[in-house]
Amino acid sequence: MISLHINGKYYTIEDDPATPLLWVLRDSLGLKGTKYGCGIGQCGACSVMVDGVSIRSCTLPVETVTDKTIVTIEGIGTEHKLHPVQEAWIAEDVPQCGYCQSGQIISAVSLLDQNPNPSLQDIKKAMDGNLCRCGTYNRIEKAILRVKSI
Amino acid sequence: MERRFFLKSTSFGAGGLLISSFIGFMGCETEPVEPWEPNFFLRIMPDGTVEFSCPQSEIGQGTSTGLTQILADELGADWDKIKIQLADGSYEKFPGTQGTGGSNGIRKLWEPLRKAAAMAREMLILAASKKWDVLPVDCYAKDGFVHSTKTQLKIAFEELLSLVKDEYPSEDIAYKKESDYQYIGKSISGHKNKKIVTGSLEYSMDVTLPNMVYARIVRCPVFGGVVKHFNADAVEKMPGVIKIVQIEPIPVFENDFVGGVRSGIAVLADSSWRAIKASELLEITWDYGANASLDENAIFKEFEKNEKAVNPIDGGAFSDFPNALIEETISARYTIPYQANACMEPLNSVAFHKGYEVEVWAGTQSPQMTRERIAELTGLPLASVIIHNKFAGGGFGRRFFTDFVEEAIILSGKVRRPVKLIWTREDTISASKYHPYTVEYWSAHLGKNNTFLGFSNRGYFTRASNYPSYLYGKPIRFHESIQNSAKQLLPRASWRSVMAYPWGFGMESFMDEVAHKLGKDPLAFRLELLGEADVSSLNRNPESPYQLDARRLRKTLETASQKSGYTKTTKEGRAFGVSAIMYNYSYCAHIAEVSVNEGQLKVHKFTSVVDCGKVINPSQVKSQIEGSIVWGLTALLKGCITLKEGRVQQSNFHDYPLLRYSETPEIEVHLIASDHMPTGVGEPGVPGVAPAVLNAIHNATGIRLRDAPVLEIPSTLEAQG
Ligand code: FES
Ligand code: FES
Repeated sequence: MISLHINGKYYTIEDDPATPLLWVLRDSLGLKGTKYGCGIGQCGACSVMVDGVSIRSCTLPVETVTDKTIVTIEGIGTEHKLHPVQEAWIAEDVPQCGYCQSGQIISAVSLLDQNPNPSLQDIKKAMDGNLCRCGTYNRIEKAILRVKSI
Repeated sequence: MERRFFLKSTSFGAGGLLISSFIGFMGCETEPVEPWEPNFFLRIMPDGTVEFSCPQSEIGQGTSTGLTQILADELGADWDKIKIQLADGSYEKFPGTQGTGGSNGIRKLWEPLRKAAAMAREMLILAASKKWDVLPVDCYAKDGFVHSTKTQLKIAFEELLSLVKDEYPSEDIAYKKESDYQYIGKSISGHKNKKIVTGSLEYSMDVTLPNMVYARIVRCPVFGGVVKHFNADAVEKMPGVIKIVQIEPIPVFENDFVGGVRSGIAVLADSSWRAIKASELLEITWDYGANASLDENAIFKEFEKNEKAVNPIDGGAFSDFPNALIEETISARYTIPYQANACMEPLNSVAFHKGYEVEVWAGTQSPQMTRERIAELTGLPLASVIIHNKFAGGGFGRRFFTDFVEEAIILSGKVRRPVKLIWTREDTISASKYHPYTVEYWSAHLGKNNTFLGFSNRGYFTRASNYPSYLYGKPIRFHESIQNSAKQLLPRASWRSVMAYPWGFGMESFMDEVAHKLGKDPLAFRLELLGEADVSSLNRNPESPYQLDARRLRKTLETASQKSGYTKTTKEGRAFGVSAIMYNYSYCAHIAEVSVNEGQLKVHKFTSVVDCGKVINPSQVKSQIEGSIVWGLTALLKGCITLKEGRVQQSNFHDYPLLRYSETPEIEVHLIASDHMPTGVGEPGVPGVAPAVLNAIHNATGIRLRDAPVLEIPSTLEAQG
């Protein structure tokens, strides 16, 4: 049995300790906002925050995060109480298909938490690991700049 | 009478109506208020919710938001009370309007949806006007209420539900005036954005059913190959593994590749991860079949042989010229590689084959065709096949094809439990369906004194004679499409902009080559041709509200020229490149700005101008063009699918990379204000991206590149093909 601390709650799971956190979140805990995109750490769709840092959950064995604080997209804000980053995403009409956006938002929140006033270069560096097949990159940039400016 | 009485007794407020309708309180004998469904598009609920059953799929192209704006305006609904659901596959309800492809969603539904909403609105107005004893013309619908201009009364739609059932809409309904639009033409943020940003939008990948099992299939890596034998002993013993199933291949239809299933072995397990992990341990021996010795070079050689041997004319557009006038012909060949759609949400579906009935949850672009295919596959009547369409994490044409649903049905049929079939990313890159490898041959014929007579075109993919995407007005001869015996080396998928992609790639590159040959500025050359072009002969149906017009393409190009500050020569180290394309009645011009330094290409900026008729949602239109540019740059600059011994060489984003944020140019999109009928924007931006960049590279370096992908810029002029 493994216990996890996710979005301020404690969970216990019975998965194989080597199971990537992504699949534990999705299949065992029903936290399906975190997405599977590539499984090899290339796309960022599966990004979650572990101790405040955006990390690819698809290559992260669950046993390595038992003593960590995990935040998934479900822990960022709700439809009724949106996080400023989520508000900015809506204001800039960022999403197209939306599938990559949980990961994008996790990376953006993690960036802004650590660096509330990022330069364009900082933004590029922090966000470059998150792929978007629909091509929403420029709007993501605008949304982050919008949060920065408030 | 009873209904009227009921309504009166509760008309003090929607709340009263609501409570009585749901719990029938205090034993009063009023009948509960039922939802009102005036047509298949919409239903008004007793709590005032307007349910919109959206026939088009939502794959990120934004159509469901645009359609909701149309519905909201024409009905006079309150935006916040509309609930959007994707309609189940049903030809009966939505004949011909449910397939999502060809950027046709808004175009196909603009009329029927407005009509449906306007009829419902008229009926609500009739009901209210009778209730108030005023004339219908003195009433209007807005924000979910019918209002009376004479009495200042207003009544919520939901309070009219019992009355409205007795009304009949008149035959000729007037549509809302444009000046009364509240939603059409506004940049409303996508309706599903709140759910997306909180991670709560449900894709088919997220569907979970009681007793569901998870599956992954290992498919034959060579298309057409089959399982010879396999050993699953070790896999069967793994924790959580439920069943191993051999998938018998189902051939694709001869020429369209819509369905079909590859030979393979499936592992069914109690979680996604266990199914994926276990499947990797299968020991499978394949019979690779006839394709195992082939690659795209074999196709190329055959194309070349074919092109040189026979070259019959298969049709043309605009009046031809006699061969005797030709003094000189210049020719160019363009090659376009295989590409994968690589939708961000890997293909997947959930299916439950109950024996007597089948239920499917899938993000599909073809809910009706999927339903038909599944009925055929299972032998069940159509009525017993239910296709729930889900929001999809990208489609780009790939989700039009039904293979990923067929597979789940087969597996669920074996276990009689719901099955969630997951394609890994590797499966979507290595064993999928693809944009075909194509070659385009272009010639321009010149007469005496460099007079320009016209074009010849020959391609594998161009359906020449029925493809009116050529608006330059000069005679063009289409030669019979190139054939190749390895047509099925890889099965074909639609891929954002489909055959317009190789067509546009060749045509818009070659336009520049011809301009240079004639000593003209490429942009001015296009404007000149488009200004003189009479393309009315391409409009086959004079009754249709959609008529091609070369001047509209010209206008986009002129505007792009002005907005970008285009010059023929390099400006501040940047060279400009142009393209102009019409796709399904939408017009799009691009101007790319690039620099090339020591072989390093940088795409700095795109200035793009679109005329898609009346714009329903400017933000979403611009989004689509931005996305199309990223799509086109990925295809041109990042990579492609290649074959070796019949096998795809790429497997995931490390060797099939997508454009990243840091590589994305600045993008400026301008929209032409227009009163023309609205047309689509998911694809028209795609075909012109590569030629605009290639033309800019030529202007920067003098090097003409004709083969995609372009992974490096050759350093010498001799390098060009
Ligand atoms: S799914 Fe984890 S990086 Fe792609
Ligand atoms: S919005 Fe579709 S992949 Fe990013």
